[in-house]
Amino acid sequence: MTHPYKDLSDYHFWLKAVTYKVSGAIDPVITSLPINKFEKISTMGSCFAQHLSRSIQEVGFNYYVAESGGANYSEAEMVKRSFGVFSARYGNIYTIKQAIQLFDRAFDIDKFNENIWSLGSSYVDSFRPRIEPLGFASKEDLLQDRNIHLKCVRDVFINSDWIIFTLGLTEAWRSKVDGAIYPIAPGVFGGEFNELEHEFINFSVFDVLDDLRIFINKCRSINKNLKILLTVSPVPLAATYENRHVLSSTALSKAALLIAADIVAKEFENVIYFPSYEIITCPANEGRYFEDDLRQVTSIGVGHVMNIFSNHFLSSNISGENMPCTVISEKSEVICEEELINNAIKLGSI
Amino acid sequence: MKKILVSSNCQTGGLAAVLKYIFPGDQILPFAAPDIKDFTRVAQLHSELEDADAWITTNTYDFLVKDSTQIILTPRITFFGFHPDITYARRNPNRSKTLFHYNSKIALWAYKRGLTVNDAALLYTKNIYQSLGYFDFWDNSVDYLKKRFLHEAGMSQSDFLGFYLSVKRGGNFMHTINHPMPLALIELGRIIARKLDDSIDIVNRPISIPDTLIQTIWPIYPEIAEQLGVAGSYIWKINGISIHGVHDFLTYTFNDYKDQKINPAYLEPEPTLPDFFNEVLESYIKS
Repeated sequence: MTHPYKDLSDYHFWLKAVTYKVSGAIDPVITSLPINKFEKISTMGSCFAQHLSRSIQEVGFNYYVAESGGANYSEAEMVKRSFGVFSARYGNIYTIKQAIQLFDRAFDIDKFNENIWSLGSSYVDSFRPRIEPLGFASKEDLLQDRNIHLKCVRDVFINSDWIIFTLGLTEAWRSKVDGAIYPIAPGVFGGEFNELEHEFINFSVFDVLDDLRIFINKCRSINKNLKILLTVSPVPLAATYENRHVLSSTALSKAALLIAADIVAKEFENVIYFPSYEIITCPANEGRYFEDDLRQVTSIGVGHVMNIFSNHFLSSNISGENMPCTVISEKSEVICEEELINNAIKLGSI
Repeated sequence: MKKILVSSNCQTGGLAAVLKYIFPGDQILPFAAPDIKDFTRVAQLHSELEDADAWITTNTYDFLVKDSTQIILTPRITFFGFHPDITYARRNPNRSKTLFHYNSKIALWAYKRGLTVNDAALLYTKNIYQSLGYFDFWDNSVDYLKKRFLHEAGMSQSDFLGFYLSVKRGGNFMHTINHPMPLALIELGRIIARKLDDSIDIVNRPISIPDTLIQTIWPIYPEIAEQLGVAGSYIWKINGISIHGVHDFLTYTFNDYKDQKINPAYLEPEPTLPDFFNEVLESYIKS
């Protein structure tokens, strides 16, 4: 007797690929494309993308940092000011719409207002609010730094061989005035929320899909050989503005991102999907991959993701002798605007 | 009230505690399995078994029991997956075991090779673990444990799977290669309890027992833990003493070997390590 499942590989079957496996050995990657050790790898996306940035540096691959800060700052100051956290100092890019906006701003395709927020006596760049921990001293300083930054962003898009993009959210806040998308709601870190000027938006799966196609085409229009690795952040929403439970919003948001990523990975050549979300949320982990807040990812979970990533995308380029350990430090900190919402809750201001 | 004897290795106490939790009205008597040549202890066991209703045991000395006594064989839980670097070792021509039974294979090799602590510490790396096959121990360890369930204890495939899938969910379930954590003893105890009396529903309820095997805890090395998806560290607990870090562990181990006046030539891992073990470490030292 025959049936269609008869000759399928083990990874098709839950029992063989998940149930019987020790959690660290679960490997859902089926498609990969080796990254050459000399290729320039840039990263952007949500907080979780920072783990990928760090790991690529640790294993000695060519992590491309176009906006390095030069010799102006000490190492501690560089970290504080988010130099090297991503390939340019754009901070967390939670939605694909935000990534398109970054591209358009960098190449002067779309014009936005200044979008500068006040924070006490200083000023915050609303497109990347936490870049300067205390804000900029003056608007002029901010605009000057923004110009330098956008030049570096152009460099990232033009010169990268790979962009690793971690899709984080579908919910965002938008300016009613010029359509600018913010990484965090006005008023949480600088600025002030105003219903006449700001609106909530939750991108549908169709929106995300359209935006992904637009983003990929824009990137390829100036860098035709660019390879893109998409992944979805496993970190749940810190808060939802939809009138529904945050758990439901998280599930729907991640589902939309996963579906859109899957579709474009099938549509476009050299656009690959990497299953970070699946590795971290797999039931085999029994929650061990989440911190006690059940949101942040533990070093064990990050270690698993990076192991699988290295095995499929990086390892063939590294000699065994030089392969550094990818065990992630317990103290690895991630800069996350979304986390500000949780901090506000803890401080009693929400 | 039934009298139930429990005879196993160092798992005896924990297993008896689980059964006491499930059958509070019965007399549960832990009696560690004696060496067959220890006539005094065997006689004591024989005496205890005379009025026993059931005997949970790792050894089938069935000549000791009357026909009416229910014998339930239990496997000794041995699992190398978390601790592939542990080995037993012989320390002299008489082939006596090292006083502390657990040895690090790498430390032992380094001691025999005459390395300093500092040089030996350099061998505890991801690359070396990978080359020594430490990342591939899991599946073989599962097979080994399964054989213990099926062949040593005559348990069913279903018994084994129920045990394995349940304990695996908790992450690490072993303090050392043969010292299970309470969750593993509880799952084994549940299987045994069902064989004693499958009508009681307490078997499926939460069970809590004290952890009596915490004097010695071997860490899951972080690089190995990463492969398994569990937490790892380099913190040993040896006979109640905590040792932090590979360097301190090696200092402790080398001093311990010296205190035992172990001639490196006579220090031998048991079972013998495969040839490639020596080749991997030698090539690393030479490079």
